[in-house]
Amino acid sequence: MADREWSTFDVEDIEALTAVYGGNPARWPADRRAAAVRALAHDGAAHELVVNEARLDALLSMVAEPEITAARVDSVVAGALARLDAMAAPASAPAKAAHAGKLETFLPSPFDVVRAALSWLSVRAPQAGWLAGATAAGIMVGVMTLPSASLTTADTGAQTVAAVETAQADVTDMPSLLFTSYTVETRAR
Amino acid sequence: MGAATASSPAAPTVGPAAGSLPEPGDDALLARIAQGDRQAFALLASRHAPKAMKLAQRILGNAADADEVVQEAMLRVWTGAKNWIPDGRARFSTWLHRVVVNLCVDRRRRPAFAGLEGIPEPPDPTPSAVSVMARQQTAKLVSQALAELPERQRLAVTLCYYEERSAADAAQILSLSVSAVESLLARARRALRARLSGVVQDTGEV
Repeated sequence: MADREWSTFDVEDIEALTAVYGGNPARWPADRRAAAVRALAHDGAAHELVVNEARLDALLSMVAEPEITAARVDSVVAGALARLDAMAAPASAPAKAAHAGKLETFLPSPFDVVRAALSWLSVRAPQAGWLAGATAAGIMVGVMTLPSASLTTADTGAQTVAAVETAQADVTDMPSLLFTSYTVETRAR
Repeated sequence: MGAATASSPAAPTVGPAAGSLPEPGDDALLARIAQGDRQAFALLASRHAPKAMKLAQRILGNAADADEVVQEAMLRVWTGAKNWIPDGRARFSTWLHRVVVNLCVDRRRRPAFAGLEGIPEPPDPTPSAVSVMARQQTAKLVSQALAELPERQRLAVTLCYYEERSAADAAQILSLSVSAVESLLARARRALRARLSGVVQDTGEV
């Protein structure tokens, strides 16, 4: 019905049109409306068809329109926003929990060890630079083979997250500097 | 989410006050929603919820289900906003109504719960209410006749007759061709005429 040029209308065209869109010309497609209305003015049979369909339209219009109050709309929107919150909450909670109270025990990195060793030697024995380099390299290889550990508060049995502190051994001699581990308790991010 | 259009002419329920900035269009709001802007979401939802709720209630026949469906549709707007392409091919309201119609169809396929809405209200005993009751009775018969239509026919009538959508719009919402929608409308009217023939003769109106 939609693929034709609608310059003229006959009774059959009116019948087909009203069978789909009813008897109210306002509901007819714009490309057909003018020609159809012209046809009605001159064709009594076409006019009768339209009146019959308009009777069915009148019945259909007796169905009450749903009442949509502002309070209902507000409730729907508020409900949707609350559901957005509910969707967002579980997504962020595990991430926070994963970071909360995490306790990490680690050894200084090999780079830190070399840097500390060279710094110590430059103060205590500046003339032995070549020996320091060789010693630091050897120690670095050894340190790289040591495992680091990561523990959670649950693993250690701690029930609360302690205040964040960085505990660094108070050492000044070379062996202690190299082999004392650091314990850092990170704050929940 | 489908392609969208230039801002739909969706009018706010309350016009902007004199001197205030005009409200942003649907596309602008969708762009903000894609960035997580809840205020834009609330504004867009408030703008489109009334029509969507009316459509859902016409299809489902009860307000509570309609509200739930529209709420669900709005959440899909939130999650789908980042995929919205304002290329002028479709209006946001058409996309939203398609989502609402699909959710309504899904919900109607679930087992029905016999709620209070199925219980008829007690008749008003006052004599002056007789004509009102007769009209209500007729309206109820028409509603039943509509409810008994096959699903697609009922959707086509709801969109084209009650929501006053064009056949082209309805075709987009139902993912059908225009001629398919016209065919559904013709069959629906034929079926309604047959079911309501008694009403036609009694009232003389039809």
